[in-house]
Amino acid sequence: MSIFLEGSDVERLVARCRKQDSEAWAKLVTEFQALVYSIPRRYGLGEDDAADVFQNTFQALFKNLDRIESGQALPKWLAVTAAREAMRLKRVSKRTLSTEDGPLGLDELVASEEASAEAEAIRSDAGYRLRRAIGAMQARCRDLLTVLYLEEEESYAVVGERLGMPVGAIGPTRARCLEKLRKTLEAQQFFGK
Amino acid sequence: MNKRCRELSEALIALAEGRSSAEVAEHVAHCGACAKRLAEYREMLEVGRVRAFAAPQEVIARAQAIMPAKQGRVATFLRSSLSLAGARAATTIDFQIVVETGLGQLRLMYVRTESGWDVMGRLPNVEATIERGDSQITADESGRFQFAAENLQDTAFTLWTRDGERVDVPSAEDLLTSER
Repeated sequence: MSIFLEGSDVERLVARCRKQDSEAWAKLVTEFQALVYSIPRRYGLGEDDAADVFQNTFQALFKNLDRIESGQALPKWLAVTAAREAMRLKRVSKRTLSTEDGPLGLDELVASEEASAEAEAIRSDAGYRLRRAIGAMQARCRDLLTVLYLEEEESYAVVGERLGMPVGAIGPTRARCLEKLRKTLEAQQFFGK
Repeated sequence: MNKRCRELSEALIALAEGRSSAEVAEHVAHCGACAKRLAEYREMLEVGRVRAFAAPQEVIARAQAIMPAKQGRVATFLRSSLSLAGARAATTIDFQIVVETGLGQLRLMYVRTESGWDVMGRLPNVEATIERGDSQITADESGRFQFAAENLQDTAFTLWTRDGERVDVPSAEDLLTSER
């Protein structure tokens, strides 16, 4: 199971990447791989196109390392970049400026794509932060919330068997864990963005 | 939050998950604190439904290769005040190792403590930062720095100059081994 880095760790990694530290770069790619790769897949692109978006996004990061203001801003920067790139690829593959786009002119299309990229970035950043907060919880809560809310839906009987937890304990434990998670996220000003 | 709100914690989550309860919904309609918690639970669950895909390993490796591994220098052993066997056996004896970094000589002092070793040094006449793993050690104005290590194998660190030059300083254990 992935244990996410703290914000300050990301800050340090970015600083090391600016000094061309390839070990730090490898860690940074690993840390944000799911965030970036998920975006083209959610846009409906196949594995090859998603791989291209992934590579182009990290190429862009490599070129712009000095422009990243803080580690905190990095997840959203990556998400916006990946979303723009995914839409560009999608447009190219569909030859978007054909009849499929109906009455939209180029300016409107660009504005619409930009709004979509921004919305996708907010969603992806929130997803990353939620997963990071769950990943930082103690094992019992982390495993239970992951199985219940981040993976394919399973019955309590299956969840109980997987985690070695009596079925009767799942409901109350999940409530306690969700409340802990809510408090953690509240402290991180996660809600209502 | 009052006692009733605390009692409703699990019911609020059920409501957030879409299992309706007239009694709880009625309470929430008149309780600002519970309405806020319900909205936050709903937001968490909604965000959790955003599907995540793990990138294939070869895709990750290709992106990691964007930044080529930089060939850094490795500091070389010059002399020490103690042999490796002596350092390992030492319980109270402090010792020194002098290395050549390519930026200048660096004298390192290893001092036994209750929990392991303190490592002290002074940077050669160059502006550099000192890193051990993911943590950064700050040198004072005169270039002096210090860090604690559990054992002699745990004393390696890296110097980074302002120009991005990298010098790896091996652990005391490796430096003293290289002496032989």
